[in-house]
Amino acid sequence: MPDNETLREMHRQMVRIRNFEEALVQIYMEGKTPAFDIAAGPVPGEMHLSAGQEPVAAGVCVHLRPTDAITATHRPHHQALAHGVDMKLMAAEIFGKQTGLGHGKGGHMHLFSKDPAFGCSGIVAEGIPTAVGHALAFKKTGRDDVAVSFFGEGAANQGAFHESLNLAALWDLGVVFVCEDNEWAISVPKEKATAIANNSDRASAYGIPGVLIPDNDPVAIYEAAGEAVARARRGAGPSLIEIKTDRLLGHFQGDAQLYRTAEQIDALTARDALVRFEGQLATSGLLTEQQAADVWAACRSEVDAAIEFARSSPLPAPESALDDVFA
Amino acid sequence: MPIVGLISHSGAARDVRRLTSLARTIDVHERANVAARILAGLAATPDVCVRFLDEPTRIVERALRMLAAQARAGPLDARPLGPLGARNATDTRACSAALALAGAECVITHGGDGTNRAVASGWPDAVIVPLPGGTNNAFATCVDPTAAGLAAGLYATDPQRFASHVRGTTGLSIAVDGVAAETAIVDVALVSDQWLGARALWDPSHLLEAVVVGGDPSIPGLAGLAGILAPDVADHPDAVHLRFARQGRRILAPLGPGQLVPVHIRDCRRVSRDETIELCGPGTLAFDGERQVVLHDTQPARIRLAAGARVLDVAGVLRTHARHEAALTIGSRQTIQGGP
Repeated sequence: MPDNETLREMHRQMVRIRNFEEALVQIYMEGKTPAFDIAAGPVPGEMHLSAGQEPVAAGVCVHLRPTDAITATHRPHHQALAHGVDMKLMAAEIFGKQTGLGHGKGGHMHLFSKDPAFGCSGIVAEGIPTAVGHALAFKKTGRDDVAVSFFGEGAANQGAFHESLNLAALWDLGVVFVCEDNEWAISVPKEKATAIANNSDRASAYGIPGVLIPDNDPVAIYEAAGEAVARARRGAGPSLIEIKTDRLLGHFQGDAQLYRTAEQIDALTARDALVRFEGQLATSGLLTEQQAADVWAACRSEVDAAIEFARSSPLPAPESALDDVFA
Repeated sequence: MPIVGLISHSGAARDVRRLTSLARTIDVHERANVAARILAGLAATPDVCVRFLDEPTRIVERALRMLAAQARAGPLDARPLGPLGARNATDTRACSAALALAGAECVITHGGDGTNRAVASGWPDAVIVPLPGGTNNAFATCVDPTAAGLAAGLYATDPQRFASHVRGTTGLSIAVDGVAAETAIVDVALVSDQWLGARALWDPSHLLEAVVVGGDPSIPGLAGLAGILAPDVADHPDAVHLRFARQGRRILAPLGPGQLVPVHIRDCRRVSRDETIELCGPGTLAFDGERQVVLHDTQPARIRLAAGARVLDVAGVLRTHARHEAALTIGSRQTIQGGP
């Protein structure tokens, strides 16, 4: 059970992420209308935002230290921020600026940081074996750091998922596999693509613990993740946590979401985990109305500063196009 | 046509105790297998229809497909009832209430103590056939699913004939601020947590007090601890009130599967039927092993012994049926032997 300070910090982190994502909702569309032009505006390319999935990041990452390695997906902002990746450098990378984490060569799906250790990829399931590699390196070098792999429910149907669980279990590696099940692989509902109902069931096939968190609750996630991280850190091996979470926005910004009804989207908004958590904190006497307003204002200021830094940073020089890249 | 309810809860046996103890995982395939075996038993009893919980993992639909793949399986009228896409205890309760409204004779459950509490809450005089499908399973006893299906089908076709095999259990009614909140079927615990979180209980240092009915030292959980501390109470319709401490009498408690942990007991005493136990916040009330209600400072909850659930004795039903069938068989043979 998190103490009061941890609960407030988890809330602050969730508000921080929500502010960042909401700012990008607005900025991303600059210059892209009236006819949606994905290449136009200050943030060209696709944009996958994590509003609604904040509890996953806040509940898991609060247990991590900077040397613990995270691998994330094409929807990575929440975990990057919760793990302590510098918001300004991250924003600059998203804007494709020279001051960004990857000097503007990666964009929002390719955020890499050495300290804290964080990486993500636009390739589905790419990060799962990478996390196993991190954990193998930790074991070989005698470190008690852990690797956390975040991936979606669609990725759990990829061979990389199964190969990774197999090796992690075989070698007793300190990996926590976290499946963020938002029920949608782009526009494909899980039931149309997955033979089983719960991906946590797949843990049994590799002889590791599998836990299901059914309700996107940050405290429930905190409790399960705390046990899984501690288990990995003490060398007891990997585990799989499946979290039923909510993607409040489309797969990408500009997505008309024709695959789900307005009622379904409204239902997601009505059960927004951040609103629910804030209400619980208020009921528990841990967060007054003024304190909540202060948190939102402080996070908004931090985001504004990061966006301003990104906007005012220079683009990479054309002659640097072949720097910082492998191929 | 007599109706038998079937409630298999896909959320049971999946919580954080997979990490904190040696609790097993019951996956959807295993649940579907158990449901198929139940349905096989039900299909063997004539003119019984099944109404089941419509939940997102489609356990019973999967089970029906398994059953259909068996060449000898007969047809069975099985359809969902209650809320669509049921996900939580509220939905289980609604399904149970819908079964009562539909005139079901009994309901087979495959879940944990929480599932059975929800069923009994939605349909207070339900006749339950509980199969253990949760983590600790203090309420249900081990029985073959096909035998359970057969017994439920037999009971549904002639409840009067098998009425003596329905046993009433003792439960615990809980009132918070004077308002009835719930009836627990095994235990009520006050823990120091201020949040529901992952709901399960696993850390003994969080236990403050507990009231337990049906203590049994052979099962894990608070019921097991009560069975160790008060071995004579299990056979009586009384409860046990435990108060925990940071030091004092030290007991090795079977709090979960494979989880024998030391707890300190301040005191342990029998609670009689006319007694009220008051548990005061701050803390969280857990019913049957699940954190359910947060109590704020000095907020009181009152616990009293109450009628619990009604449980069908599967072996008893099958024995009665077997005796009756055997008598018929012998009678027929005698008729044949002594016939003209």
